[in-house]
Amino acid sequence: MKVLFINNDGGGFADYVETAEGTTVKAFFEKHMQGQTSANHLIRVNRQHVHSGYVLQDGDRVSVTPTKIEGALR
Amino acid sequence: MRRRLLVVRNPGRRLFSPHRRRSVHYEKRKLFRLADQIRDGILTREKQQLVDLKYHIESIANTASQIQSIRKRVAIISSGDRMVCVSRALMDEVLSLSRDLDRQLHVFGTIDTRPPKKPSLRDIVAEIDALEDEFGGWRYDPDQQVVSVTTEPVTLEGMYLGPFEVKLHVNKLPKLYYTIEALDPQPAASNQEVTHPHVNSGEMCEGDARAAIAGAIREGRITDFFVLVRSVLQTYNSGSPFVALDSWHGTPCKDCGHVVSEECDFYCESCDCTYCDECYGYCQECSSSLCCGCLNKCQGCEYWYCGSCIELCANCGDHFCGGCTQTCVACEERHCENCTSECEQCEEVHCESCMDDTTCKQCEESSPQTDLDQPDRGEIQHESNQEQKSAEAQEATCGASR
Repeated sequence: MKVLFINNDGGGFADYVETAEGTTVKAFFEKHMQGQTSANHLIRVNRQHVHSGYVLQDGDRVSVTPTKIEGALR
Repeated sequence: MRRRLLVVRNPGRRLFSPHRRRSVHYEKRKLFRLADQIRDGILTREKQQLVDLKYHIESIANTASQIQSIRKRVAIISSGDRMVCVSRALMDEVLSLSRDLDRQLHVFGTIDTRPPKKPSLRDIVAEIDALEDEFGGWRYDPDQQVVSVTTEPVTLEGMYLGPFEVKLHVNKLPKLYYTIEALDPQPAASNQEVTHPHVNSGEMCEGDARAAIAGAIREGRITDFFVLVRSVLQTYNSGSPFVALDSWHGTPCKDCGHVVSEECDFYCESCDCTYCDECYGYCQECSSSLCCGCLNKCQGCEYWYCGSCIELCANCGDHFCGGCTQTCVACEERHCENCTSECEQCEEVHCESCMDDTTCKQCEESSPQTDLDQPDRGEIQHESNQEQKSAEAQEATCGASR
C-alpha cells in the first residue's frame, strides 16, 4: 500500500512511499527515520494525532515534524 | 380545543434557531474564502518562481554568449603568424565573466527543481481546520489579512518568555512573510526588540527550519508551517542567538559581576569589555573613558590616568602623572618629587643618582677647593720661614767653604 510521507526534518521531503500492510506508526517511523527518536518528533496521520500502535491504511497521510529545531542569528 | 401537532423533522437532533444555522454557513463560507486566498497566493508564488527561473537561465545564457565572443577573438589572435600576447583588458574581461558565471551557476544550483504539489482548496481547508486540534484554535484578521495561532508559554532553560502569536500574512503570500508577536513580552535587557533568543523585531531566524518552512508553504501545508515555527520557538540555540539567555537580563560587569542593562553599561576601549558604572572611570588628563583596571592612580596627586598620560618614576618605579614628575637635568630621566632634589649651587633639579649629598655631581666636580683642603696661613708662613732659614744656612755654608 502507499502512504504519503511528509518529513519536515531538515530540508523536507514529501512523497508517496510503499509500506507493508499492517505497518504501525511506530514501525513506519523506525524504518523511515532511522537514528531519530519518536519522542522528539510530532507524528500526525491525516492531520490528526494518533498513538504509536495505529495501523496505517492505504492512502494515509503521515507527517513527521521535529519538536526541537535550532534557530540562528542571520 | 384544537391541538397543535409538533412535528420533529429530525428525531434525536436538537432543534436550533435559524440564526445559528446561518452563522455556521457564514463561517464556512469565510473559511473557504480564506483557503482560496491562500491557494491563490501559493500558486502566484509558483508563477513568480517560474519567472525567477527564466531570469536565471537567461542570465547564464547571456554570460555564455559573451564567453563565445571572447572565444572567437582569442581564435583570431592565435591564428596569426606573429607571436601576440593576450591583452590585459581581455584577461580582465575573461576574469569578470568567469566570476559572473560562477555566481549565476551557484544561484541556479540552489533552485528547488522538484515539481511542486499544487494544493487543492479542500487540502487547505483541512489544513486550517487542523490548526484547531494543534493549537487549540486559530484567528483570522480580515483587515490585516493575517492568519494567526498562539503557542503555549515558552520557557527556555528556565527563562520564561511567555506565549507567542505566529502571524502568517496571507495578502503577501506570493512572498512568504510572517511575524512573531510576544503576548507577554519578556524582552532582553540589552535590546527591547529581542523577545526571544531567535526573534528580533518580530522576525524569527529560522535556522535549520528554513527549508522545511519554505516547503510547507509552497505545498500549502499550513499546519506544518505553524508547527515548524513553534518548534523553533521552543528550542534554544546557544551558538547563535540575538541575545544569549545568560545575558538576558543584562551583561555582567567584567570586574564585579553585577549585571547591567545596555543603557547602563560602559565599554572600555582598552580591554574591549563591559563594566558597570562603579568599575568605570576616565583619565584626568585626556578624559578617555576606561575601566578601573586600565586606569592608573598617580601616587602624587592620586588622580586616575590612562596609560598614555601616566609615567613611571625612573627611580622608585611608581606611577605618577606629568604634573607630579620632573626631569633630572643631568640624566634627563623623569622622576617623582620624592626622588629629586635641588642642587644647592646650581639650583637645578637632579635625581638622587645624580646628586652628591646636597650638590649635584657636576657642580661638585667644577667647584674650587675649600679651606679644609688648603693649609692655613699660619702653617704657610711657618713653612716659608723654615725655607728661608734653610736657604740662609746653605749660603753660609757655601761662603765658609770658599
